[in-house]
Amino acid sequence: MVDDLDGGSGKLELDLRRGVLVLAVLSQLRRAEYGYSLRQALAASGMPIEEGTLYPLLRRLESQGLLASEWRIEDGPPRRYYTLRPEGLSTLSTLTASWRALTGVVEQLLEDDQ
Amino acid sequence: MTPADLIDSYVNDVMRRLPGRQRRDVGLELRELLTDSLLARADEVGRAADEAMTFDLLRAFGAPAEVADRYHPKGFEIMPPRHAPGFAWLALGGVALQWAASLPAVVRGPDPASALARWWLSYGLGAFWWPGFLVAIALIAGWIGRKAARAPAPWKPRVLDPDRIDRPIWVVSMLAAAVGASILIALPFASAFLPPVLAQVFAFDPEFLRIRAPWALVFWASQLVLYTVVLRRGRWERLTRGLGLGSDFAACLLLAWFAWGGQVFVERAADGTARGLLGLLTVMMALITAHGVWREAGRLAPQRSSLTSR
Repeated sequence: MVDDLDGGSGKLELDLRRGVLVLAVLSQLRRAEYGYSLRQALAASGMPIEEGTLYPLLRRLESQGLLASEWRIEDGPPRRYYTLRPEGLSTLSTLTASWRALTGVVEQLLEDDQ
Repeated sequence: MTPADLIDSYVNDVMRRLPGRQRRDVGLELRELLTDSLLARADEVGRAADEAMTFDLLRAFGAPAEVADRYHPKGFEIMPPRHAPGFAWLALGGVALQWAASLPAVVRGPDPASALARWWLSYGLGAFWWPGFLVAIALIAGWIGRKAARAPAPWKPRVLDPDRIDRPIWVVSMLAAAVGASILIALPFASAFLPPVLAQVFAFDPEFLRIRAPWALVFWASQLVLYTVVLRRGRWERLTRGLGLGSDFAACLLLAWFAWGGQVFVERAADGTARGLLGLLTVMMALITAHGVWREAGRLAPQRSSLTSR
């Protein structure tokens, strides 16, 4: 039963993180990053993300016209660099505003509850 | 195998599951990611990457099929979730019904074992045309639905009082039913006026007319009384709803008795067709009755007006 609860809360936490993943990724792509460096940057900021999740997400955002990508060779193997397109920048600012409003509301709700 | 070979083998396994247009691009990117991740691991533990370390990394990354799935675009919905249980019942119920109709003859035959094998290769497997047909219809309906997608209209109550009847329509329905019943009642006496071929085809079995047919008159008379009461009241009430369900149940029994209780017509072909139709009507009536019982069981008691008493 306890395991079930733990499993359940683990999944809920995963859902919560998944919800903010797009915002986190967009926030790091104001300057060009390749997948691995992006993942390292996110992990260093306390937002670890599975490799298997990050790359498909980057492709999806690119196909939605929010990101641009190009292959570059800089003292090493060729790497695919991603950066925000103007549409991505505008989405980032919209999502940022929504996030701030949402966290404010949730914070208030949690305080009311205590 | 060297770590590089392992990574290449893994990447190839993912790539062959991807659409052609993105295969090469994703493959290159994936190889770059896995190589970077492996080098980072090797740095962490302070030794060169080896086979075991590469295996650990690739297993943690996931099965190639799962990884490839993440790159595929999100699938589409065949039907809204609210239709799924009904769809499953309809699909499997249709298969069960076909099996129920075709299996008894197999069991009754002289060599059930080989007949069963023949049945499975004909009607048994053949019954699955029905779920396939339903899936095809659902796919077409889903495609049309997505093309014509628009916001649902604001909710409006369909009928303010679901028990109220529309009297003019009720009267017309009762008249139509009375005409239909009169034709059926007149049929045994009409043979004298029919051409000889038709008279022979529609000649009722004497035992049917003597024992079973009179109960249809009793049933119709009881229905006439019930529907007249409902017409006078202008609505269904608890008692008439209960009587209506009882009447539906009686109709099931009567139809089943007609279908499987012996000959209806003297002529074999006419009798087979008529009893087949009666059997189908029995099943339909049973479904209607079951739906009526289910709906009645799920009714809410009328709200004692806490909303209007304030």
